[in-house]
Amino acid sequence: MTNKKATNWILLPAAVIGILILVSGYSDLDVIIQIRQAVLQYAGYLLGLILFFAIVDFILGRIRNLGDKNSSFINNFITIAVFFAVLIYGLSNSFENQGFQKTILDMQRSVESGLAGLICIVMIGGLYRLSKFRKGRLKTFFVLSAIIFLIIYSGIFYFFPENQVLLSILGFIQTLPMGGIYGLLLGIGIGGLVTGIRVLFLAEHPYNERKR
Amino acid sequence: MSSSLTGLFIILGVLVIYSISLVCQKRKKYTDLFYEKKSAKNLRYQIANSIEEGAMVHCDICNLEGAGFFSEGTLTALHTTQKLSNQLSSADEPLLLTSNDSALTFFGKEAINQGLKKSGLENEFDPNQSIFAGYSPLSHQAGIIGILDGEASAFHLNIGAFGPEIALQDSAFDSSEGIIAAGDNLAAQAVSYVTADDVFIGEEIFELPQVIQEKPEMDSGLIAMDIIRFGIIIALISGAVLTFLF
Repeated sequence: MTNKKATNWILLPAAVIGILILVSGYSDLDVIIQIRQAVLQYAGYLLGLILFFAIVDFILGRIRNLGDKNSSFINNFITIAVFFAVLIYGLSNSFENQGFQKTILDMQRSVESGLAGLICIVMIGGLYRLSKFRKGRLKTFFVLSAIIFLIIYSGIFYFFPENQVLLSILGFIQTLPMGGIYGLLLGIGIGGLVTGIRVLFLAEHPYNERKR
Repeated sequence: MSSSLTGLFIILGVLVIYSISLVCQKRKKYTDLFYEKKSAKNLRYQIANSIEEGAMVHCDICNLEGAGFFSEGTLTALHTTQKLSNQLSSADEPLLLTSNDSALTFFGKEAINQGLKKSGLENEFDPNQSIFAGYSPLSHQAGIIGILDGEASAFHLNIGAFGPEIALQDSAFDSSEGIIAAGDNLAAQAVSYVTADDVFIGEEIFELPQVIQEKPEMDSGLIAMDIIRFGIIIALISGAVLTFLF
């Protein structure tokens, strides 16, 4: 059997299992639910195995790159050293060990809090650039909305006497982001659905496509 | 009507529209329904430009942190990687892929290899083209910046579940390097609007593998997506008007 034929043959049971999982969402039959559980469990084991191979592959790649002049020796060496240090430390202390978790989190937090601060600075710079250099109707609306919401959530309106008209306008403005969020979620939903159908019904699949 | 039954009707509706698109995809009047987005045109231009200039293209895939499974966006990202690898197979500089998941790095290698195989250039495959760069969101961005230190890319295509930390790329890379964001995280979409050169929002993320190819109007899935998109917009507006009237 040629490689192409074998790939096509494998796709059929894959599509059948996919449709079965889809149907299981609308069925109360015990058999279908049991099959779904078995398939999901098997997928979990498979993913775990792939993850193990991926980690081995990653470390082997780094060891291979140690002798490569084009890649950074220090970068590869530090990665390997840290990997084995964490591996040895992890094997000698269980994951539930509070000290182990604290050590890892402390190392992570010290770097990440600095990066989080940098994000704020980049965002302010980005907004300035957007308003000054990248002109366009939509971009102008974006900058305007950023300014309006900064003012609204700054709490400045608490200092004004209560006004029913102003409150209803503020209430309306505050509902607008919810509309935007629903719109984006709808879009992601449609996209996910069409992509799922494309793959499930073999109209298109990542590694073997029909010709245009 | 129960919500699960509504869901089934929606799936069947999408399936019917998709089937019609498959049947009618070669009719001129039908392909004219395709709505070409500016960001998609720009992306195709940038790919062509990178081949001409011999500059590297960097693609980053982000999966949901600690999800244990791949999101739809990740599947789309792998598909896009394969198409990009195929298109850039004859380029001087190969495609570089980074991801935040070990298994995804593994699948990314396979996608690059398959893309090259389609061009008959599987010998060009280098396993170092797909690199794991940090697990948590911030360390992932820091990892990417470290990996690409000193390397000039034509553009950076970010796909998947990345968050607001995408803003770090804006300060890390040269202004001549394009940053394209196609994420399914809501906060990331807003941040990308400020810091990225082009943004694919909402359902546009799922169109990526098709829009980077030539003649995207010939793709039945894209036309089906356009019909559903405009159908939903009309339904929302009608619903709002009817609620207001009655």
